[in-house]
Amino acid sequence: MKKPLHTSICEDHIFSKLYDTYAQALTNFLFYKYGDYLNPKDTAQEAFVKLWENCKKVDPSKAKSYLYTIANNMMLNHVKHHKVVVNFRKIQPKEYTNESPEFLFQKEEFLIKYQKVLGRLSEEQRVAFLLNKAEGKKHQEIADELGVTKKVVEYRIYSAFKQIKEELEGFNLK
Amino acid sequence: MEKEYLYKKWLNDELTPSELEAFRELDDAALSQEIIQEAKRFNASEQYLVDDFEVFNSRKDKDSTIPTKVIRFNWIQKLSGVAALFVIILGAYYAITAQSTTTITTQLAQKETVHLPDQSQVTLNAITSLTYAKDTWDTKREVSLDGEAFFNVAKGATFDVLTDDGIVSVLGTSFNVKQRNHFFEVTCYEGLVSVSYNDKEIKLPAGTTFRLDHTIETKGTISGDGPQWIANRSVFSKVAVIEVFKELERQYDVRIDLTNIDSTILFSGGFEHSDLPNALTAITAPLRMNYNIENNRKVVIYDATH
Repeated sequence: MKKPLHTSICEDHIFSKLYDTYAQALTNFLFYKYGDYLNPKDTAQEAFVKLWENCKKVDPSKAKSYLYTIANNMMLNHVKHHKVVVNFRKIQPKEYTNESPEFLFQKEEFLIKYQKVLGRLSEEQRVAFLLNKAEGKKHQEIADELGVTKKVVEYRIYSAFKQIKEELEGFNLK
Repeated sequence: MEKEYLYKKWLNDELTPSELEAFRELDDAALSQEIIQEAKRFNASEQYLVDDFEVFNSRKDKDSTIPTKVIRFNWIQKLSGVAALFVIILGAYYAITAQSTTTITTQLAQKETVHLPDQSQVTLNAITSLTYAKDTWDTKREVSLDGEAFFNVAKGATFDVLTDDGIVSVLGTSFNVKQRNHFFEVTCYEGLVSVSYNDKEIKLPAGTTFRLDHTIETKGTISGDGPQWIANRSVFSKVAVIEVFKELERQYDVRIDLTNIDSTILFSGGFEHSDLPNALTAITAPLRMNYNIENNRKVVIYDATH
C-alpha cells in the first residue's frame, strides 16, 4: 500500500506549490465574477492566508475547493449590492497609425459600452464567457473549474454572447 | 435557426471551412468578431498579476495574526462616505449662503446711488451697507439693509427690505428706511408700505412716518417727496440729540464729545452736510449749547448757560 508522501499543506513547499498553481487562476475567476470592486488579487491572497491558518484542518485534495469557497464568501459579504465593473486594457497608442482620432474615440466608446454590458450579465454568463474568450481557456477546463458539464459552459457562453451582441448592435466600427 | 447554429459552432471554434464562409456572410459577422476579439481586453491577468510566492509569503505571516484586510477596506469605505457627506453639506451651505450676493457699502461722509437689477433705485446714506442677490432677483426682490437708505422701487412683485429691527414690504413706491442701533424709522413718500416688526405689522400710507426707538413706537406725518438727506440736509423731529450728533458724525467724519451735556434732550430741526460750523450752530443754538472745534476731527459740545 502506498503511503501519501505529502499529508499536510502546512509544509512550505506544498503550500507554495498550491499558491503557484491556483493564485492567478483564483484572482482571474474573482475578477470575472465580481469585477474590480474588491481588489480580486487581495481577496485571493486573503483566501491563501486563511488556508495557511487552517492548513492542519484542510486535506490537500480539498485545498482548491476550499480556496474558491473562502474567496467567494469573502466577496459575497461585500459585493451584494455592488455593480460589477470589469475593467478593460486601455487602447495603447501606436507609434505610427493610420487610425483616425474618430476611430479611436469610437473604439473607446465601444469598449465602455461593452464593459457595461458585461456588468449586466449574470455571474454565470460572465464568468464562462470571459474565462473562454478573455482568458482562452478550453470549454472542458472551464467546466472542471466551475463543476458543471461542458454543455452548460457552452450554453452560458452562447447566451452571454447573444446578449452582448444585441446590446452592442448598431455599433459599426469601420 | 441556421444562424443560431452557426453562431454556436463559431463560438466553439468548430466551424468547417464552408460553414465559416456562410458565417462571414452574416450581417453581424463583423460585430461578432469585434466582440470576441475585444473580449481579450478584459483579461484579468494583465490587470491583477499575482505576486510571487516569496512576496506573498512575507505578507502571509504578517497578515495571518491580524484581522483580514477586508475590514480595513470597509473602514475606508465608511470614512469616504462620511467625507463625501461632509463635502456635500459644505457645498450646499456655500451654494445657499454664497449665491453671489452683491454688497454695497458707503463710508463716512459718503452717499451713493445704486440701481438694482430691475431699475429700482436705492440711495445709501453714509455708513450704510446694502446686500442683495443678483441671481435670484427675478423671483425674489429682497435686500438686506444696515444703515439708512431711500428706495424708489419699480413696480412689480413684493419688494422686501430686511433689517435687524423689522421688515419693510412694498409693491412699488418710494420710501426711506433708517435702521441704526435699534433706531428704526420708515418714512413713506409714495404708495403704501408695510412694516413688520416684533410680530406686528402696520401699513404706512404716503406722507407718514413710523419710528421704533428701542421699544418706543411713534407715528407721524411728513411733507415733501423725498428725505432731506438726499438734498444734503438732515432733518429731525423730536429726536434725542445724541442721534442727531451721531448723524452729524456720519456726515462730517468727526468725533463729537457729548460728556458735558444731557444727550437725551429732544431736538427738532436740521443741519446741512456741507459746512461744519454752520451745521453745529444749527443744532446747538436752539438748545442753548455751544461747541468748540478742537482740531479737524474732534468737537466738544458744552452747555452755554454755565
